[in-house]
Amino acid sequence: MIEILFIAMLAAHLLGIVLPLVFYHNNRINILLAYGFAALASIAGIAIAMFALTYPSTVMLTLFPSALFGDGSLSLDGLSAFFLLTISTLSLAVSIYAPPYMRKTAGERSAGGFGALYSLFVLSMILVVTVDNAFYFAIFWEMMTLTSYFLIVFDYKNIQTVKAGFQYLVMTHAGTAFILIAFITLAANSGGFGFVDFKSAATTIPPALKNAIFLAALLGFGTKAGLVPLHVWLPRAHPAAPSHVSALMSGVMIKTAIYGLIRVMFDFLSPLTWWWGAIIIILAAVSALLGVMYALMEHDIKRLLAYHSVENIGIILMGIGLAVVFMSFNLKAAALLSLTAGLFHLINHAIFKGLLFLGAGSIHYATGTKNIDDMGGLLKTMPVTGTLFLVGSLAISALPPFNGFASEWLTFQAILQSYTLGDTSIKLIALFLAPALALTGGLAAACFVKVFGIAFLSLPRSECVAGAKEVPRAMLVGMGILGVLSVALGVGATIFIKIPERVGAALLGATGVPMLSDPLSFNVAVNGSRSSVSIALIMVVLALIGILAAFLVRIRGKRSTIIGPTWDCGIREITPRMQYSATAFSRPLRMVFSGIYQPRSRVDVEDGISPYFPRTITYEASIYPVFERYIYKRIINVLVRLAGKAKMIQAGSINLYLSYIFVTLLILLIFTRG
Amino acid sequence: MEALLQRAIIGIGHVVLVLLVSPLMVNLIKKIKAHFQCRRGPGLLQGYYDLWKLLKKDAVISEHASWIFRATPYVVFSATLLAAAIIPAFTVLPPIGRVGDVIAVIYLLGLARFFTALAGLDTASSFGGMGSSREMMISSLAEPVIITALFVLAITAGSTNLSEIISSSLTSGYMQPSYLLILLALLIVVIAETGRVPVDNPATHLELTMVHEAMVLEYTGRDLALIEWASSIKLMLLLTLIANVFLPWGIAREITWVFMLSGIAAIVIKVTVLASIIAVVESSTAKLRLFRVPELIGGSFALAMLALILRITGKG
Repeated sequence: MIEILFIAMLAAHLLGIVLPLVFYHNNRINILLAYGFAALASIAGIAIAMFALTYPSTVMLTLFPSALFGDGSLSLDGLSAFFLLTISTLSLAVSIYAPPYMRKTAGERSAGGFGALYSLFVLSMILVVTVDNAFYFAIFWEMMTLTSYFLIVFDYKNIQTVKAGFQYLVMTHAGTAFILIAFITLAANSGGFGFVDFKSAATTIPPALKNAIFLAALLGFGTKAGLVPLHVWLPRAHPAAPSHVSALMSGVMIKTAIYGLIRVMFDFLSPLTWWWGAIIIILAAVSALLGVMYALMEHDIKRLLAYHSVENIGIILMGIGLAVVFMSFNLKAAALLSLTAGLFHLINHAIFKGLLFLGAGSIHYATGTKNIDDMGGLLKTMPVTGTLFLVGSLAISALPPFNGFASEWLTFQAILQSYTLGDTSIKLIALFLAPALALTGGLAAACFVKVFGIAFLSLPRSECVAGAKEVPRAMLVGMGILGVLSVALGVGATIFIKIPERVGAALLGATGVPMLSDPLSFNVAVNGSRSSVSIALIMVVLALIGILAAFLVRIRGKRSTIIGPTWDCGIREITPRMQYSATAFSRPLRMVFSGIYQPRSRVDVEDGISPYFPRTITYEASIYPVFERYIYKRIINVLVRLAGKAKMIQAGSINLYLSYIFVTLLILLIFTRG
Repeated sequence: MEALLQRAIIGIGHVVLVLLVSPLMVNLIKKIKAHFQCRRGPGLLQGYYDLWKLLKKDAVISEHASWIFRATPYVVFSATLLAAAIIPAFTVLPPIGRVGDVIAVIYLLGLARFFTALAGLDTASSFGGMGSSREMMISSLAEPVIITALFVLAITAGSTNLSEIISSSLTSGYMQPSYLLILLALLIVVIAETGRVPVDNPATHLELTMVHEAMVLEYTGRDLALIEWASSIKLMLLLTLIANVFLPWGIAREITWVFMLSGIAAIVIKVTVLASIIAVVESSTAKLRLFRVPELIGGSFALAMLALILRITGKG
């Protein structure tokens, strides 16, 4: 039964790939076909994942029998089902949102090819998280990378987009090389490419080799996940794509790297070594902090959101890194708590970041701009989009009663565990985690006050924004699904937490660990006493006190509300240019963290009749791209120099190249003779 | 059934106590500051009169404002009062049950701040934007200090629940090196969080020095009443937190009338003393330039980290 549904899901995706190409020239039809089938397949995907999570049975679907690389089959254990659920949930909302958005974005161009690529992209993500053979994993991984590359460069006439796409292609392929190194090493030591082979050989691989495999996997998957300092492609590539694709890339594509990392570490390399977790924790904290700090300085709304993906990958990996540390000390209950926190934040981030990217897409749809400093007052012209964007902003700032708070609360509890368990070295490594996570939360709140306050409140700062209209209903429904989920996963966190908890327990072999929650509140045991929070009760009491407050203000009778002008210090009227801009809003933090940002600014004043009445003032502020200049520039310089050396053997003569081939063949023959 | 009734009475009593005492504390600080400035100052009950008068007035709302501006007073009041209701005041029991822990308190205050800052930007006035921008800078730096300091306590108690933290202060003693460090760190941060000198000046409407007052400049009438009341509750809750964690004397460990009444007396006295200390600090220091504030908070962060290191290495 479930196999049939699985095949139906794959078939729906295949139809979504083929049919838009058939109706290539009619945008109305091919858009509906592509996103309609993607939505259907996503509903099937959610059903399959829920089934596989409730009844822990492995769905097996052998698809690629091969003598050389072993059988490749699509199977759903808990972890795969969890990622299938995440991917399908987000792609359902995105597929509902996409049709009107795509009709406008495509304009005169055909959207058929794009629709087909979109379906192929979603399908390849599903295949990546369900396949159980390293060889096919690599193929699907590559498929995912290439389709996403073509989705990014949809706007190929924009030179920035092309550059961003190229950077993405180069960096992720470097990452893929490391993933291949990890897999080939594993295969060479286990006699097969199947994940089953890897798992059974886990205990026989020598420790030194294991360390090498871990590092290769971390580099490879870390590139895709956008871990600092491998993140530089992410804030360029994600915003370049059309917004619904950005939502999928930031929401779930980078999470497939987390899937890969979890799979390799917990399945193939256990027992784990403690310093692996330490490295992950350190990189995670750095990513979280630098991600949010760079986000604060961004004014391109999509690039800002992309930096927040770097931040949230950091928060997710804090949980996972702590789980590695705890497992290496065989503290299974604490490891389960940490892994659950990480996985829960993963699905939460997919939801609220998807919502925010779709919201940014709606703004772009309605106004044609992505620059926050051009926006303003959108809450009045786009009330539904605005309210949903507010929900996403509150969730990503980890404020109760939304889902971001639930998973960050659990991450805080995991950190508290690390302070009380294990030996002192672990405690000292984890020392800075609590302040790092708190600072991340505080800065994220500052950043989203900036985004929401500047973009949606006060007066419009440009013509195109002043005339904005609410977006079509399909787009609102797509965002609405994610908005409702943001609230539901917060208020109902104790119910939804069972899913990642069960997945984590199966992965760690930690059955029989006391349950994390009762129906109403989280209860986490540390050292015998319990920490508890009930987001549902918080929601209820907040509402009750709100009613009490409404009653309080009526104690002295009902009073009227007068609409008046804002206090303007006696000038004639307030104009939009007098308001705080995003640049001005973030200036105090730019000054405080000037060591990290290394800000540059230039003021040009053109004098008028007297210096006190200047004709124009131009102000330019930028921050120094530290990673690009200090790390990547150097690597690129070395590569260019090497390429210059390699020019010596490339004379451009066919005869010479033929002789190279001949020599190579000869050497290979000698080499393989024995 | 009787136990449930008892808990309900405690909960309601707690909320009423917070609502009633908090305006008094703010006014007490004003009074003491006036004394230092050789003025007589407002009467101690002036806070109540102000609220009572504001509740009677019509509200004027900016023509540029959206629904965020109208909703903010209610969100701020709810979130702040809920945060105050989580912190035990006169008994070690959680006043309204297991709703939340200390992390929830911090993030509920964050929710209130988020909306206040949005309301500041909502009216298109550059004062509001200035206040919001500064407030978010100060608070995002203060947040790690509070969390770190509270984690030191949580490690000892093995829990982030405030009841457990206060109980463990009562049993394992509160005169420990790490506790003294975080007491100092928390006092600095409480001054920053409640917008008091040397970080911010609650008494000024001087354009360039405002932080919190700039954000709520456009509020009038009943909306202003809620905002003002919420900020006095915030002061009260942070002082209660410090009082009960570091000086848990007199807090009721059993539910009997005698213990409860002495608990109420104890918390009022302790908060009064702490409020007086804040008034003295406010009167004896000069307001810092905005960009010196991060250094002050950075100093308190160093204290909190030191305490955390001492605590997790088991040295104190």
